[in-house]
Amino acid sequence: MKQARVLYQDQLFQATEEADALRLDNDELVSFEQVQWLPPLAPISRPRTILCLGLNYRDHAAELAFKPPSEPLAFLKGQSSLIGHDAHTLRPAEATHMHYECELAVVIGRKAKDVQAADAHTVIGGYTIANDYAIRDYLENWYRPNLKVKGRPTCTPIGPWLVSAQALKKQKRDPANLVLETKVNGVVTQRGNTQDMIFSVPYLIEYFSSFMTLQPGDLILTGTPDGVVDCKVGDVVECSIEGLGILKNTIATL
Amino acid sequence: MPASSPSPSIATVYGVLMNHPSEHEALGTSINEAPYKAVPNAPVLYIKPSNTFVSQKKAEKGITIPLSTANAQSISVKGDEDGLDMRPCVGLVFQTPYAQGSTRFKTQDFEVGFFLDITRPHNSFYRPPIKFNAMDQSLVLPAMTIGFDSWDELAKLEVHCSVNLLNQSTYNVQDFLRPPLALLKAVSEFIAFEAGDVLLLGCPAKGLRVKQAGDTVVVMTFDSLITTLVAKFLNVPPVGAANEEGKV
Repeated sequence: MKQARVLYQDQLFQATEEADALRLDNDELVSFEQVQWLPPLAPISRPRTILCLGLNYRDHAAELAFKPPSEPLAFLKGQSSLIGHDAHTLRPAEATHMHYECELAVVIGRKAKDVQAADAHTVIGGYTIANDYAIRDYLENWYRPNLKVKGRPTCTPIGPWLVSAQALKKQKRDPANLVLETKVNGVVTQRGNTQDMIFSVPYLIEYFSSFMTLQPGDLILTGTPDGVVDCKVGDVVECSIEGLGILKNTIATL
Repeated sequence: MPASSPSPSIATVYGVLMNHPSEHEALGTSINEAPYKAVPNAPVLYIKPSNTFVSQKKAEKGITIPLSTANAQSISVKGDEDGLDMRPCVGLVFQTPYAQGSTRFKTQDFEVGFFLDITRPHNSFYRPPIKFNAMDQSLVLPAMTIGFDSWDELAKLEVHCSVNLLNQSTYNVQDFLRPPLALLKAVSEFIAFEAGDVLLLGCPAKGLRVKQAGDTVVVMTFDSLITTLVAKFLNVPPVGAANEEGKV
């Protein structure tokens, strides 16, 4: 399964990719530009839990001059920060360090509590791309990183597709070995591989589910490799992950 | 007095640290030393995710968070000390969305209730405390929330908390460094609020601690503005400890 959720002529549709176009679930075929892309996540009747990892790639930790952590460094953000593919991400006028962060996002597919790493695959619903923007100007040392840095509306683009584990397997791709890449205005500025995660996806699921029950629709944003760069107004940022497509957004003024 | 109504569907719950003078006093000079290096500028927020939600009804029957992590095998569940800290909070429930950058908040767009925020004791506030405060059942929701007429009315609230009706603590909303309206504005600078979202107004440092199974917590205010909240704690074996058969 590889699905998007879009607004077309003010109506909500699920859609699949067909010959560089979108097949809506009313059978209409439309172009990517004709729709508004939403986060590719089915609605749920509870607030979505969004777990984010800081410092989960070996090179990124070195880049920010930190020793790799011995325990996952995680924070939560609210669902009001999510926005779909091909939208605008708002930069405050005073910001000087607004960093994209291309991340593999795991979508939980089944209730998960006390799941062992070896069984983690049984609770994963699918994968998508997230851009966990950080406005580092606002960093403080209390419950760091704080939500002024990380929880801002429009600042967590996610999508374009929700791709199931089976769909990745069909492409002969392994979630633990996917190239991630970010381009700003067409120039590659970040490149890494999910194999460089300090804490793997199965370990993270075991860790989090040991003290909290995760539910379908919950997200784990698994961190970003090194190569973060300040994004200015007008910049077009494209985060791509093998097998998951390209998540694009444009920086605009807050 | 506005009519009462049942609890709305609670969405994202934001709590705030360092909004009471006692939290600053408890840290003393360490506020300006590493790792903190300075008093916080922006409101220090944390989120209580939906797995933490437990209804008043269920909480009265018994909360199943392990009280001791002494024998825990898993790194993720060790607290700095045994027991659970009680943070009785006044929570503002948004009845309507408020966009980022809002400065005008109307009292009729909110209801208010007690939320009991339960935290495993921890001594550092440098990194987010997820494993200490995002446990299942670590946020008792109010049975009901009610409207209020003015921000001044809210400021007059006195919150009483007791464990087993013996140990008692009291605080006044008036003492918060950012009063409710100022807190809303400060947080709105960087957060878009959705209907059902909750902003917990803050809590003093070093509240009451629950240590034993059977301990019962009551949170109330004496002017009948908000209904009481009761939670009881059950005996639960430490997570990861061997059970009777010797298996983990």
